[in-house]
Amino acid sequence: MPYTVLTIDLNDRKISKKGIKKNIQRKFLGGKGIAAYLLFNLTPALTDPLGEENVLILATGPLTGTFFPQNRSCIVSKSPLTHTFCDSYIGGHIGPEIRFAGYDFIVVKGRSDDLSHIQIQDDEVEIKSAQNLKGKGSIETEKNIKKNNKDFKVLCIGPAGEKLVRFASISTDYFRHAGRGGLGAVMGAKNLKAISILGTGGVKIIDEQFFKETERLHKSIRDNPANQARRTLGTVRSVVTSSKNNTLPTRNFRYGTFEKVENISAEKMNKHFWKKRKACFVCPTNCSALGILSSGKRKGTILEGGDYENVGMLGSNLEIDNIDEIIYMNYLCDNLGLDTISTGNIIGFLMECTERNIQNTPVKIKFGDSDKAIDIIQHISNREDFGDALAEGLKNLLQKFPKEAEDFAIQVKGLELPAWEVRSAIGMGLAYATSDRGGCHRRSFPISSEISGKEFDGHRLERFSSEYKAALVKQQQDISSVHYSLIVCGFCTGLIEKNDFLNLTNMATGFDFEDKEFWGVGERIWNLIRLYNVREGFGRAEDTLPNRFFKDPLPSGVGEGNVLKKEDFVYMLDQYYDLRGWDNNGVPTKNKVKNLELEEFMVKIKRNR
Amino acid sequence: MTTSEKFINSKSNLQCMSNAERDTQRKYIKIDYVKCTGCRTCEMICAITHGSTAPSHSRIKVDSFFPGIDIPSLCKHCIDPPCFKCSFGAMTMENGVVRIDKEKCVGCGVCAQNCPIDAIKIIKSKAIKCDLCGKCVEMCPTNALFFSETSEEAKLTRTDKDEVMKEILGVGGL
Repeated sequence: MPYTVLTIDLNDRKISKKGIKKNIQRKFLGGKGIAAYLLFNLTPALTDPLGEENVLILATGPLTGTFFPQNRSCIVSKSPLTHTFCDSYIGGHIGPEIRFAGYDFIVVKGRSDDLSHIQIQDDEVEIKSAQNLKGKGSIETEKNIKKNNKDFKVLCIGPAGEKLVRFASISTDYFRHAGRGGLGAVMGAKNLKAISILGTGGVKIIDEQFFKETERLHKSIRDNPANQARRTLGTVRSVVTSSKNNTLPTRNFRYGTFEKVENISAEKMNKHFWKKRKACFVCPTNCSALGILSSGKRKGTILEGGDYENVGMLGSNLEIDNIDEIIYMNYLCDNLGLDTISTGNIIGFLMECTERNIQNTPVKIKFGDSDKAIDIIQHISNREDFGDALAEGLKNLLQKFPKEAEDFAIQVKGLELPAWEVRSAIGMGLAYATSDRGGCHRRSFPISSEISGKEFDGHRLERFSSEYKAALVKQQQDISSVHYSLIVCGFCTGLIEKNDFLNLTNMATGFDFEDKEFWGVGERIWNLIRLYNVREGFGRAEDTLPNRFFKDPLPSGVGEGNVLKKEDFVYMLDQYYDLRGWDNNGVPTKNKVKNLELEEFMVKIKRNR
Repeated sequence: MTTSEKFINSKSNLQCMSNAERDTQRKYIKIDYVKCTGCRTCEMICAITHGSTAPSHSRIKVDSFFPGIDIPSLCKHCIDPPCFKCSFGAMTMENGVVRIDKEKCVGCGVCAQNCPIDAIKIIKSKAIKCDLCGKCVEMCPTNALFFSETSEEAKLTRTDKDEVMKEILGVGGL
C-alpha cells in the first residue's frame, strides 16, 4: 500500500493528500528514510530553518501503529540549532494515532499569521486559532486541547518553542519530547502551537502471520530476564554503571565519574519518587514512570520519565546531587519546552566559565547551584535578559566568548553533547563526530561494546584503542537508520532477532525484501542524509570534536590520564570515510552514490553557509 | 487448576478459551490501576482477536488522564445487566457471561446508552462488547488485568479517576 502524505500549507491554508511511489518506499523504507527524501526534495539548499520555506515532517514507519512491541514516531526538519538534517524521535501514542487517522506522513509548510492549532480527525483537517494558548506551558496546552475530547493525541510546544529557542522541544502525552535539535522552534517559527490527532482506523496488515509473530515478540520481551532492570528502573539505572565506567559527564565533561552518584541513582528515585510505571503504545518494556514529590521545597512536582540523560545532564554534569532539584529542573524543561540535554550542557558550560572567570560570561553560576540553574532555565525559555543569548545555543553563544572557551564548549556541529564521555571509550568520539544531526549518541553507540570488550568482526574491541571502531560505528549507523525508518525504539532492539525486523516488515507491508537489500537501505539512507548535509555546507571540517577530549586528560577513574589522541581520531575518521566510500573531505564519491542509486541527489560541495 | 490460573500461568498459550471452558463459572476481569502503564496492549490484542487492527474497535478501552493515570474499562457482566433493555432480544446471558447475539442485533445502540460505564460500542452497525475471552489478561505485560473469581457484585459506576489518582499520587483532582 502506498504511504499517504498529508500536506498542510499554513500560507494558503491548503490541505492535500498524496501517495508515495512504491519504488521510493522500497528504497527508503519509511520513517527517517522517507522523511529525509521528502526534506531533501521539499526544501532548497541553504533553507533558513526558521524561515517559512522550511518544512516540518511528522513521520511514521511501516511498523508504527501495529502490534509490533515498540512504537515510536519521528519529527524531521532542518535544525535551527545545527543547520543539518534533524530527526527527533518521540514515544507515547502520537505516532500510532497518525496512522489510525489514515496518514503515514504529515508535512507542514509555510507560516501562519496567527498562532494556530492543526486539528486532525480522520479525514477532517482544520486549522484553528491558538491565541488562547499563547505563552502557555506544554502541559497546560495539552490539557486545554484535551478538554473537549480527551482521546485526541497532542503534539505541542511550550513558550520556548514560541520564542524560537534554538533547542526547543516538541512534547506529547505531557512528558514525552522530541527533544533534540530544536524542532520546537521550527514549529514556533510556523506559528504553530499544536497539532492534535484522533484516528479511528487501523493499520492494514498484509500477512496475518504478523499477529502470531508479534504476540511471540511481546511475550519474549516481557519475560526476558535481561529486560527486567529496564522495566523496573528505566534508563536511569545506567547512571551508577556509567559513573563506574568513567563515562558519566561530571562538571561540564571534565570528569567521567561522579563521586556522589549514589544520591542520583535509579534505586533512590524508585524509593523516593516514582509511583507507577508508564509505557509507550503497546510496549511491554515500560521504561518510564510517573512520580510526585510529596515533601520538601519542590513538593507537588509531577514528572513522567526518569531518563539517564536528564539525570546526567542536569545532575552530575552540573554537580547537582539533590534528586528533588533534578526532578524539578526536568519538569521545568518539559513544561517550558526545552531540550534537557542541551539545557544541562549549556548551564554546565556557564558554570565552568564562571569558575574560570571567563570574560563576557552572560550570567555567573557556580557548580552545584540549582536555584540559579532554575533561574537560567526560566530566562532561556522566555529569552529574557541574558536568556536571549543562551537561547541561541552553545555554538552561537561562543561568538561572544574569548577563543579559549571553545575548548570546553561541548558540542558537535552545534548540537550540545549528551551524557556520555569520549575519553574512556574512544569510539564514541567518532560516533559523535560523524552523527548526521551533530553530537548525538543515538545513531551509533559503541560505548557498550567497547567497555564490555565485545567481539566484532572476529576481533575483541578495546575501549582505549582506535582499532575496528570505524567499522563498528558505520555498521551501527546503518542499522539504526533501518530501525528508525520502521520506526522502532532504540532501547530494545537487542532483544529482537535481526530477522524478525525483516520478516515482520515484509508481513506488514507485503514487500519481499531479502536480508541484503533490507539492511542495505540503512546505508542508502545514511548517504542520502550525508548528501543533504553536504548540500547545506558540511564536510570534514565539521566532523570533529571539542578540544577538551583531545587536550584535557580525564582526572580520575578507569580512564585516568587518558585523552582521545588527535592521531587516533584522524585514524578512525580516515578509515570511516574509506569504509563509507566517501572522499577525504567526507563527501560520498560518485561511485558510491551510483551504487546506492542516489544519483539524483548528488550535489556539489558548497561552502557558503 | 482453575481456568483463571490456567490463564495466568500458561502465558505461551496462543489460543483463547473455548466458550464451554469460560462458561463453567462466572469470572471477572479485574484491574490493578497502579500496575497499568497505559500501553494499550489490551486494546490492540482485543481488536486483533476480534478481527480488526483498529484500537477503536477494541472491547476494552484505556482512558488516560493527566498526569498519567490510566483507567482501563470493560464490561463487568453485571448480575442484572441494564443493557438487557433490548427490543430485539439480542442480549443474552450464559453462565454469567453477557453476550450479544450478532444475528439479532440491529445496531440501534439502546444497550450502549443504558450501560453506565460505556462498555458497549456500535461498530459497523453491530453492538460489540467484552466476551470475556481473556486475551487481554494473557497479554497484559504488567498483570494489571487479572481474573478474579470472587463473587462480589460488580460496581455499576464508572471508576473515579480522582480516587485512583489519590491512591497512586496521594492527591486527586489534578
